Amino acid sequence: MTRDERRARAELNEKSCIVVAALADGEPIDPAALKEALDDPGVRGYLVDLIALRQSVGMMSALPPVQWRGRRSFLSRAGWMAAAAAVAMSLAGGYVAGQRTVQGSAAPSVETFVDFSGSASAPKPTRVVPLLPGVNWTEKVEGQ
Amino acid sequence: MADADVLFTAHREGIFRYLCRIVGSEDARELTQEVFLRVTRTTAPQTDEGGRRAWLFRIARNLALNHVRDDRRRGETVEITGDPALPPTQTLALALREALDRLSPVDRDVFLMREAGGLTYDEISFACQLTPDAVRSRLHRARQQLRDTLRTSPTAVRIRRGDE
Repeated sequence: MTRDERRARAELNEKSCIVVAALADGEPIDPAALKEALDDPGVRGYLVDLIALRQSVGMMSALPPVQWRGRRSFLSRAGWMAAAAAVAMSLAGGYVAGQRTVQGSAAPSVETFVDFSGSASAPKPTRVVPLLPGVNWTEKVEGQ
Repeated sequence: MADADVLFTAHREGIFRYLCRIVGSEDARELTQEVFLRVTRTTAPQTDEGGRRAWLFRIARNLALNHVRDDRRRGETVEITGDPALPPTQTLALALREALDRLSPVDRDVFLMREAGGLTYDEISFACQLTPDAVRSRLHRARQQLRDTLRTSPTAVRIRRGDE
């Protein structure tokens, strides 16, 4: 059988299957097409399987309550781990940065001491303004 | 409100069955209530019974899609845990549920609306916003895929052999 023949046969088979499925589903069908479809033993087998499948679907309602278990996916878990790692890294980074900042900008130590050994005399004047008699120090000049 | 009561009585079971197979029984209860809560907030379309049912299933489908999307966004996956002591029929049902998970979301919706909700092709076409031909085609594809998966499923094979 050639490839074209196989394809044509598969298409015919599909059409026949759709016809018998319509019969099983209570849809309108062409009796002649149904007769032709049911001549094929493969299509008759399909009809039987279709009925069995329908019964199986009916059994699904007899299942006990499904045990649905919300399971975290890998991506979700990876997301949480990434978030935890980011928090840990930011904490560690902050600590290290803080340490470096403290070391770099440490205030210079200042040592202060008071020497009580010397006398408390005033320093010598660098300029001496003589206080001359007759000079009015309170006189105002041009309103000043 | 009377409209919502009538719709609730008529379609509650079908909506719940459909949602149950997508989001599980616990969430399906809440989503079923949410469907009818939305119905009370709006006006049901003035069409025949089939049109209203399709409209309800469209609401249910949108809610289910949002629910699944939110679960994925939260990074939660749902694991179905089967009891090894389950009887064969229930084990087969679990195998079927696993097989349903392998379908594309639209194919699964189309299949479940037909098998669990009992919708007609035209109603599914409205609820899923597909052409009736696309509904036929997707339904066929879903059934073929389920058939193939269940054929190769170890659980289903064991049941067929009568090992359990």
